Amino acid sequence: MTRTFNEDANAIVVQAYERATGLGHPYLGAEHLLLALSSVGQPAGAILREHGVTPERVEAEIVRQSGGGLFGDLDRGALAAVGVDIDAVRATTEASFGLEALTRAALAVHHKPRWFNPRPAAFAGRDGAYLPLGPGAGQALHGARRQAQARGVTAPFGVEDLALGILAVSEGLAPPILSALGVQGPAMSAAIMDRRHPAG
Amino acid sequence: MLTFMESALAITEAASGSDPDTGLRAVAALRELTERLEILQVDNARSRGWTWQQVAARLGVTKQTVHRKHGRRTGRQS
Repeated sequence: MTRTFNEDANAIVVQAYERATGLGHPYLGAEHLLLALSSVGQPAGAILREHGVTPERVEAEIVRQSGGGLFGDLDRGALAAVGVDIDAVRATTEASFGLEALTRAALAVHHKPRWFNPRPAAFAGRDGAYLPLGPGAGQALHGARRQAQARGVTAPFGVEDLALGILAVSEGLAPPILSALGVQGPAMSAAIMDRRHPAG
Repeated sequence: MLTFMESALAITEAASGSDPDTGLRAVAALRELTERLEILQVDNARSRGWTWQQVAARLGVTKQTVHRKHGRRTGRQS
């Protein structure tokens, strides 16, 4: 069986799990993949950092925009459709209780015992801890595969392929985080493609 | 990020439509949001010394229900 991602790309997914766990978030979102990607040594990571998308800034935005992880995995679009602005809920609860209380509550959300692991360990962290995929994460991973196949690339896909999948995500917190850092996904993707296949 | 006008437009469109996909996902998200807020509010009430009885009365459930759900987490058995 061919692995979907090569070793370097898979390391980003594993690191994303570890960053999500470390932040106390009960899910893996595309924003955690972006955080892991922004810290790697490969060209895709370097290009992000050159544009100000550094691990420190991404992490700060994740903490801010997810409300300590308590609201980051909720379906923002569907809530907005019934008139609930999740950013407003986050802002008011954070003002009332503080970010720390929100993070504590986030930790209490998914209290499944650690041995409960409904999926194979392929995308689990190094310790095998399981996190459900939050908004954008599945989109990033599947999108990476689809985009690579459309370019004629075959598995296993590499760091650049995964990066293009992450940058094309439309759900969850990755788009507003990129926006808050003053960059646009498509422009970053173009820069990554240019570096890999220099024109001329 | 959506501007305020864009998101207001999106809300109006979605609310006036009857797309089951959005509607059902919204219900699921609201349920999940309620669960999260309950954890936050119960913890806050308990840390301020509210009894399980007082918490349960506000939530409209029995003391046993709220204690079973939150008792172990907040670590106070009274």
